[in-house]
Amino acid sequence: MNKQEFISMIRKSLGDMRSEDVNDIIYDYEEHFNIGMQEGQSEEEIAVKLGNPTSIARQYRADYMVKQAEQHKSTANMLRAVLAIIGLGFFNIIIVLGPFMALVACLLALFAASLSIVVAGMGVLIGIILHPVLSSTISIPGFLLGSTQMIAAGLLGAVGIISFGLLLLIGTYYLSRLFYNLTIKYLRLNVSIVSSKEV
Amino acid sequence: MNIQFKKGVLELCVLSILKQKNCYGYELVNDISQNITISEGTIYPLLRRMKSDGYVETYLQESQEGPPRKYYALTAQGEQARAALDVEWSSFVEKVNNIVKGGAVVE
Repeated sequence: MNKQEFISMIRKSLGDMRSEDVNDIIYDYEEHFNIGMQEGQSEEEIAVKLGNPTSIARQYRADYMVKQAEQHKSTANMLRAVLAIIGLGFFNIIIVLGPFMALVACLLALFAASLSIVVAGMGVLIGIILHPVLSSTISIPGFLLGSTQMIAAGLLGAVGIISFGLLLLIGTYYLSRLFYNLTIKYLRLNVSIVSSKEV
Repeated sequence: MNIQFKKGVLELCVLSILKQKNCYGYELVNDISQNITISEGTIYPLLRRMKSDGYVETYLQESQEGPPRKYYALTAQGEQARAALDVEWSSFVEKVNNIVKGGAVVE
């Protein structure tokens, strides 16, 4: 492999990274080749000593994706980072992937549950309020409409359910953020282990 | 040298060399690969990560031959990291030596 092949393979494998980052990375290898050639080595010799350009590029990608997920928090970025690390062929992350997906599912379930509770509370609230107007379409258990006190209690109950749902929602949100940050930490740990593995 | 040993040590090597002098990449790679057999290309991703972690910084310097070279320099934060790794490494080597030389075996 000569210099140009080596560099274009790195460039290709870096793929969707920002072009200024790509150019910055390429600069190092251009320089490495140039100096090596001034010292009398052939392009092929230098390329062999540098190692496999595709696996070098994978290290940059994994670093980059984790950094992105850290700076711009989103599920998509997190997923890309996880995939990039898996691309490094690191065994541990695959073992961890199962529990990771399970935790993600739990968080989603919690979100769904809290939203449902909010909606249910709203249903009760609206039902009680609209019952005098739409008594034929809305069915409310009789005891709730027995007296003004019961109606008031029903309304308060509905507000309580809504508040409970909202609190659960907020709690889940913070839990998700915590989970996100812990995952980033874990990924970073993997990147530093994996990159030195290629030695 | 065993691959397992090279893993974490590479970072310490890079930081230690940069403590002594600012280097361009080729120089750094050469200094390391004269002592330890490595895929030389892996030094550059490591340098880039260290830069984004604030351990090293880069600047361009004109050279007589060809385009300006990218020099790497250790930051104060990098020196802290180096010192911590150094302590860790030294105590690890000492413990292993204890066992290898037989000092740790209780009769």
